[in-house]
Amino acid sequence: MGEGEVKRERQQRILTSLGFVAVGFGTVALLATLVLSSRARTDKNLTEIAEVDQPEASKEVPAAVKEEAVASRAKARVEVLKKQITRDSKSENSQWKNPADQAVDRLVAIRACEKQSSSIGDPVAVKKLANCPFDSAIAKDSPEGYADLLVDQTVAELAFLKELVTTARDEGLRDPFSVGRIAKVYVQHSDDNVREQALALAELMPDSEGRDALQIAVYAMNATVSGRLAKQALGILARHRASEPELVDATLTQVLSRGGWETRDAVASQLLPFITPANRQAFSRIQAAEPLRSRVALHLRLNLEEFDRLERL
Amino acid sequence: MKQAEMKMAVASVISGVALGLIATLVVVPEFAVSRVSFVRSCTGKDSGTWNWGEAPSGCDASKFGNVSRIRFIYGDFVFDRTKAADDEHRRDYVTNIHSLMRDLSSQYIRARQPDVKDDEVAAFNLAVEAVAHQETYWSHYRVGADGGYKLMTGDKNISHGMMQINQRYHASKEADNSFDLVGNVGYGIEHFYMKWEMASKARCINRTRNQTREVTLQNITRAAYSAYNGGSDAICRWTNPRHAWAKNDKNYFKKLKDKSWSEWVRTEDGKLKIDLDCVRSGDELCAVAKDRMGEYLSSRPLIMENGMTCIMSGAGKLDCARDLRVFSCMTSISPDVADAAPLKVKDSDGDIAKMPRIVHEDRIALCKSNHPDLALVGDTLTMKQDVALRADIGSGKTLGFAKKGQAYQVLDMEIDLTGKKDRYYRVRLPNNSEGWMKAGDTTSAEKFATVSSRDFAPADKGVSAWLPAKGGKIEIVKADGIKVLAQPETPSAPAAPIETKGTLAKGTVVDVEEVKVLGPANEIWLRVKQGTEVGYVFAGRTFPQSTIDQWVKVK
Repeated sequence: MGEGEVKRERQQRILTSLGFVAVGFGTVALLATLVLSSRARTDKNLTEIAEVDQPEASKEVPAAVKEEAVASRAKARVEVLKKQITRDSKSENSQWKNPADQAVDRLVAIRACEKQSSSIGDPVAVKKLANCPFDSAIAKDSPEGYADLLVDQTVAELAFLKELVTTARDEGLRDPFSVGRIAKVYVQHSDDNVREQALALAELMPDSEGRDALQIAVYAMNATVSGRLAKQALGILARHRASEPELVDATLTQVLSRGGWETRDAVASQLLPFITPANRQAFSRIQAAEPLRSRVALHLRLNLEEFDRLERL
Repeated sequence: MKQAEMKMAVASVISGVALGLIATLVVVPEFAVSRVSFVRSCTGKDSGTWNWGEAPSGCDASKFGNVSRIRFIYGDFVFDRTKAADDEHRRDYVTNIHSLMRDLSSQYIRARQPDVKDDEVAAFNLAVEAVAHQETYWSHYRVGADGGYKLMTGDKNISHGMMQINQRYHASKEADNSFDLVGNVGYGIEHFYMKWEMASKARCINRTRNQTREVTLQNITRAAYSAYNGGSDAICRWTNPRHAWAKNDKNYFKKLKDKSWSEWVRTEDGKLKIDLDCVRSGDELCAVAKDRMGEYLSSRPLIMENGMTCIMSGAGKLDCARDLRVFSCMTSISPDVADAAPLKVKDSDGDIAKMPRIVHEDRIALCKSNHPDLALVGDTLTMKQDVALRADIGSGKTLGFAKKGQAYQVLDMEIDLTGKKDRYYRVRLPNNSEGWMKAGDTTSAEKFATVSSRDFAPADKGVSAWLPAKGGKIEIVKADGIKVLAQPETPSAPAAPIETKGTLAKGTVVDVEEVKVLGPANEIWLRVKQGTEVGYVFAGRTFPQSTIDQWVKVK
């Protein structure tokens, strides 16, 4: 087997291991591009991840405090890099690409560990689990500990990537990785904390990639029951609505009619920028079907009234 | 009028109509959502036993939410530990919880999947009941050995309620529904359903050739539980007997098969004693126990059939508001209202429905008269301490901080109707981030900020003014201009015809003579003068989001 074949086979193996439980739009192709663009080292020992981010699941802190800590840690990591890069060669884009590649490698490895969640204890899977934190105190402490630990690490890596691309742009450099590709893959993760990071990346996508950003936000809207994530997705839908207005209308009416409790309320309260003369009636019908005093009905009514005033006054 | 007098005054009305009332829906605007973030301590601990309704441990419920909600709404869903030896009491409790989980899970899966088959609904119901068994032995509210209300807590008090919602991950990040029974079970169902959907596509579901649908549904149930318990990627954990947490799957499956709660359920299809529609939709209307109706009515707001909320203010009169946001400013009319859950009154409910009503429309005026220390739209808050600005009221992403010593213009305000009447204000930071801050309650508000009542006078120096001010100027920014009306539109009838005096074109700059804020959306109407012409223009609203920028620019 030639070197090229070995590499291809290895990449294929990684690709397979990355698959999420819920497979959505063109996942395989996207994953392929993502993995091929990275250096694809699954055999990388996960101790590197542990060094980068201390396991947070063990810390009994509220989620809001934790998320601020994730953001500031990502910023601090990039600040360290920035100093090194300034010292070496600030103008070279490759100086930013390496850390991005390494982060993607770590994400690949984390994902490989997530995929083994069901196999812990299985003798056949021992080798695959060798570099995974299945034996950590956190994983042993609670049934969701292993998953939470890996989610925390994924969130940290994605936050780091976001900080990296923001800083590179501030320096006037090209993006060190494909923001859209990472966002597309990770919006399909089942955890809302990870999806939130994926949407944060999608928010960085330029208008020229508006259609892709829209697809990412639509996927998130349909997949989540979190009002908070829905509001984040709505921001992206509002920005890129013009590229596929029918898709956006269909998504919003679908969520308002059949979505989770919090997502319905989120859409109802933020609906104004999406109301048009063409879809007003559809939203009005949904409002009429709601219990008279529900929050969804109130928010829909106030937004429809404001739309009417914009037309009338 | 004193509370006792008011009770007397309405007693005759109540006695005549109480039985005729539809004892179903009560509204608790935002009450069900606890503003209490991440309570870890356990006071008044009630140890409990591993039995239905009383699993270890219970902690004083008052630390987590509004206890009157337990008393009046969930009275039939409280396990009384002082009656633990009475099997009949346990049967009542288990039967009521069964009805709740059956109806809530059925409604949820049917709403998400309208074409779902009945056998899948039944399997989902069973799965949810087994999850609640596994988590807490169907324990949520209880009366402890000391006679006080307790809430079930576990995992060193990190996880709350029947579905053991983990505060570390959920409190503060999103609205915390874990105190409220329907909120708690609903949250668990919603998240379990996500795993259920995922499970139906998992590789480990179809395990044998010609597998029956019954087995498939059972496999989906087991996979959904594995994912619910161990994360989405552990969806096939139940097939791995060597897994470190295989015991959880094994125990769950045993509970699923045994259905041991059925020994305690009096009747499988018993009628649920609260109305779920209101809670499920966010309206939070719930049932009040019939035997508490008299007590309840004497101090409750009443929900009329046309959606108004009214309070018996004595002398056979009702004070009413069309929206909850207006109603929240009426609470000082009757002190008990703050902690009370209202009752729905049908038009056919005789005397109460026929009582004369005063309908309050002006939210700002009502808030001003009933809560004199509350900052109103347009007022200024000078901070006495740094306070976080969150995306939503009491929850959501932290957007920034209102800094000590800095002053901010109030764009909207809310009063939480629970005991201490927490105050929430929406302000905009200099970087244009707009969010909600919690600025204390009845007793602590003055420690957070100084309120400067402005009545829409121009803002003081150093305060960023986002709203139009009396004596100031505005520029029209709406592309097709704004019509000038002879008077403001009425919020309750926005499309009612009003004389139009002309149109101000985009770019026109006019003087503002008066600012009026009307209705639940804080609709801003400006009396403007151009030359000798005077009239009213609409300038946007501030709820649920501000739209002022689409109408006018404050000069």
